[in-house]
Amino acid sequence: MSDGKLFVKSKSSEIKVELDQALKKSKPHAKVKIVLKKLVANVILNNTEIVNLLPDIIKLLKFDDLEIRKLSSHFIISYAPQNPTLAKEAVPYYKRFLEDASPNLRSLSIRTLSTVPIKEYQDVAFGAVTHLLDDNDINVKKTAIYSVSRLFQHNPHKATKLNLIGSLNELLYDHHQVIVSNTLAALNSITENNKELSLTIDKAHSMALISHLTVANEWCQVYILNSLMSYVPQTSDEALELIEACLPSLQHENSSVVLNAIKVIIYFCNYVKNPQLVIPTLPNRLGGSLVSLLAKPSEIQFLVLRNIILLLLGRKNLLNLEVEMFFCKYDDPIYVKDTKLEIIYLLANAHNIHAVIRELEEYATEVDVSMARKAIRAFGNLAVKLSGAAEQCVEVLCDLVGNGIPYIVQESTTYPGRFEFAVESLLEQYTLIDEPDAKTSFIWIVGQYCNDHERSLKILDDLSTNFKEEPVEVQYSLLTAVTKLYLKYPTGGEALMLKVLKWATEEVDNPDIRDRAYIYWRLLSSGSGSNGDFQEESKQIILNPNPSISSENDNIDPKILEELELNIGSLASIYLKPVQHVFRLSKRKVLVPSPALQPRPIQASVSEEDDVIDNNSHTPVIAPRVSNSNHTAATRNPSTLSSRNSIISGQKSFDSASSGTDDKREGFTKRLSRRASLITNKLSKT
Amino acid sequence: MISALFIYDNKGDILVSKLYKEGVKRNISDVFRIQVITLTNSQSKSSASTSNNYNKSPVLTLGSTSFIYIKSNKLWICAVTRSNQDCSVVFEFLYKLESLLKVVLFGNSSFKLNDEALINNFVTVNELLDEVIEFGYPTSLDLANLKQNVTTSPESTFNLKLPSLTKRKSSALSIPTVSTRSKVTWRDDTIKYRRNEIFLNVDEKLNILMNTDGQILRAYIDGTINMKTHLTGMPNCKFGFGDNSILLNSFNEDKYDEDSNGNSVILEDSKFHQCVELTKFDQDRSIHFIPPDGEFQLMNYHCRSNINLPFQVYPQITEIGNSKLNYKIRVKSLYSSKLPATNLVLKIPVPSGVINSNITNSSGKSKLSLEDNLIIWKFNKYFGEQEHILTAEIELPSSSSSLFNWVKPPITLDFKIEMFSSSGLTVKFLKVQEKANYKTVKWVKYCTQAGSYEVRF
Repeated sequence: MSDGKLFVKSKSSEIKVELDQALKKSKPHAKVKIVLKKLVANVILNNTEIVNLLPDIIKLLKFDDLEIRKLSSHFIISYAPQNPTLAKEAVPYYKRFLEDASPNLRSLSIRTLSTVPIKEYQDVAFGAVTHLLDDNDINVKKTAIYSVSRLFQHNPHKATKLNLIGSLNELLYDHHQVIVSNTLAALNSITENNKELSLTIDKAHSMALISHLTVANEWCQVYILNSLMSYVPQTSDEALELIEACLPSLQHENSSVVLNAIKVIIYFCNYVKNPQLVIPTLPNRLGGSLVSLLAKPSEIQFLVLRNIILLLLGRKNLLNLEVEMFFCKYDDPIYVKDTKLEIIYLLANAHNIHAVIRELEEYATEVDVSMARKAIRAFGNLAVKLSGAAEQCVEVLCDLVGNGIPYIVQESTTYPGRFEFAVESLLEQYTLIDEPDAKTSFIWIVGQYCNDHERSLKILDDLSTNFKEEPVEVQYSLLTAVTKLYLKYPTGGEALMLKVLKWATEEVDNPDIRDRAYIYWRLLSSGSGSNGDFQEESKQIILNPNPSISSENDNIDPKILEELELNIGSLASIYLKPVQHVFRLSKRKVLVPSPALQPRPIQASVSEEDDVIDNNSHTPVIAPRVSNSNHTAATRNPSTLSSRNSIISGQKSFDSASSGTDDKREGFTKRLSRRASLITNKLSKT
Repeated sequence: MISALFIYDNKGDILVSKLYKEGVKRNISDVFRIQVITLTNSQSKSSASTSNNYNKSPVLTLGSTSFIYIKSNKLWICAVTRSNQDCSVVFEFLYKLESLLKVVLFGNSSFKLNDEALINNFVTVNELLDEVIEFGYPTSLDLANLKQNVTTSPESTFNLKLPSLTKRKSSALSIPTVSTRSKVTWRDDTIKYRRNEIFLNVDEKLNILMNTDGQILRAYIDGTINMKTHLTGMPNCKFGFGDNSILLNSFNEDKYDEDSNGNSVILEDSKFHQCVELTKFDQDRSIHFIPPDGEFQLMNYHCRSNINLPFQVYPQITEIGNSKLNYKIRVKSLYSSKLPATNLVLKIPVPSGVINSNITNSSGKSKLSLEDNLIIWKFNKYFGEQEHILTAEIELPSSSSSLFNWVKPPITLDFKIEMFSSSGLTVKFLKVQEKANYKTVKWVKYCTQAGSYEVRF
């Protein structure tokens, strides 16, 4: 029988009648279940009115039938908080179920009791949970473990007082991996919301945890791997041993297992000097395992690609990737294509530049305009990043411009400063330009760059014939362009300039245009001949140098990268922003100093292969992190880093580097977490 | 981890709603409906271009609440999280949940989810979601485990329950649960079959990108090895490939160089199902596992070298003036003449606004689809070592600029060839050991399909 027809909103009075009728029967089970199913539907449909049925449903718990009891509990969990006084009636039933022989019923009971945020429920749950943590059934034990987290969420104070953490800590030494890994997950949920607690594990235990990986299911593997982040290796050998122990997990089919394994490996790499030299296969294995995740659905690909960017920015030498693997597929969603494009840009170097340029050229003619534009933008960036390739990039761009597809022309023109010798081919195509945006940029280019004054005069003259009909932005740029032309080429440009200014001041209705024209006019008429130099002041004002272009991604501060690396696979890794900027309340993760902690390798700029990025140009070149990253940055230099190797002073400099004001608070939480870890340590010895 | 989980139908109506943690209310589902579903629907209506549907990133963060979602057929499956959670776990969970729902509702993961099936089984789905996640943490999506705990049965013929559970009396159920008895959670040791069988499918998806001259720009295979097991007890299985196969994980580079010119099959970056003992694989490349019951994917791999190319396509497209295009497309099959490829479909793009066309072909069926701006050329069967040609003349209105603005998407091929593995992979042995020492019937099948098989012109 299909349940489909039960999936409707109902009134509590109707259901009540139906339930009463059902209960009159000698064998009411089947009918009662139908009523309960209707209620489940109403919970899903968020019909709050049915809360009135709470007392009736509680009575149904007396039926000795697991399905009825489960469905009733589902209702009680959803609606008890709205009427605590009535809901209390159910507690005695659950109390009885706690002692029942059926493991399913025991689980159900502790789950319900710990979930419902009513004192009476919670009190019973607090009383029973420690006992159930020792249950002989794994599933009951598992439910009890998570019940502790629930209780912690509701009443951390009482949970601490009853030392529930202690009880969970003991379970970390359980012989069954299911228990161990779920305990780790539960502890994780407790510590992430609690600034005073943190998990610490020791060497022997971390190896023991790894040994569970072989038999654990995929989710348990994730929880186990994640917990290894809580171990601070004291020597490089320890860190290496752990890295090697995690390597097999890179082979797992589940992407979260792989990403967590990578997170752990990258974390331990902080404690080894030049890990890629000690384990030469490491970059290949990390790269390979990431690339193979690209066979997953787009959403997962997207996450993986974002993390690849993160690693390329901070850990390029731990990752060996071939750029061909990131070429876009025709049907990739746009968010995947965008991210791939960024990776292609990051991976481009002198060796693969030909393949890269060929591929980008393909994208530039693609259906999707925004993609094409981004590809063209990438050309611009590449030309800057790899000075050797600049010529090639510009050549391709000129070709594309030659095709005369308007948006290509338009997009190309947004990168003027870099393509001065491309101007020529642009000029040949100007008749094609019809979008106002493109026209504007084009006119700007002519005004800014064209040194062939006769020709630009002709072009501007052509373009200004329809001056009065053009959209405002084109009028603006024409105004400026003719003025510029006049400044550079007074004899020829004067007539045109006067013509346009006259139009603008006398025949255009838009006051802004008129005002601007007057400003130019006044500027020009007052400037002439004041101190011999022709229009010196006007030139200073109007002929200004190029604005700079920079890209966002390359400038991530190493400190932010460091924290993001501790959060590989998390939501923050998608945004590639400081975790606290995205999630204000999230707990900060830091690299804990130990004698083995290595200074962060200063990664050469993305463009390490080429000797440089044109120092003369004003355009501050994308990329290198050497640049004026940002004020909070406190770029880490080797000397402060090495001081971190000695534990005590190191800690201090580390903190002050982050930001002075946080010092006090940070120190406080640190003290607290230290106290908490003492507790965990003590227990782990027993 | 996961605070809440919602499944919506195409219009944004709620089908499943589950809260796992405090911190979010049930009506947070409206936020996602308004911010994502309604917006996407109105976008795809207003503009015909399909690409708009993909515009959005699959994660939406508002304040410290994030909506992480996937689309399954027409349904939206969305997880809500607070603060910075492990996104990889959430995505992976959503996809695993999707395939679990397919198996539970239809008995097979090759079906597509729809709202009808979910509504008809909403009670089961609801209960299932209580069992797979505890307090927001995914615990186990293994069928063996669920069979023990789910009391309601879905409408489909697929039976979720073990016989022992059909007795509904809860107190009678004092037998311990699966995981209590065996160390692995994905298998129950009480499984019995009269006939022990194991089916092994090597499925390869071939991704090719060629240019006009038939030169290969990119070629790789996404391969999977899928199994269906009907085995009694707790069998230990061992699995091996033909001698020419090398399982590579960018591990032994020297070996790679020696063999790469030969006929060897090099499998890169293999990924394994959770049941495979990865440490053993890491030590000596052997694949040991205790399989779950029923269907599962044992491993997947990549292959980038020595690929057997099934089809070569030579497009010749010439523009005559501003309004005419001449097409000449040659397709050549390169596999053994005894094998047929089934359902070979070539999709050849044309500019929009075609007013006249004349298409002839040496075999198969061809037609012009004005809706998609494609010439579709179909073959039910295409045997190996054959060559066919399609010629077409396309006319456009002389005034239109569609030829000028045409961006030439690639020609795509779709096909399926059974008993052909484009990587050349062979399965050498599959050993099953169990204490009962029974005989197992084994079936092996190879199949190559087109992934994205594209030819630029």
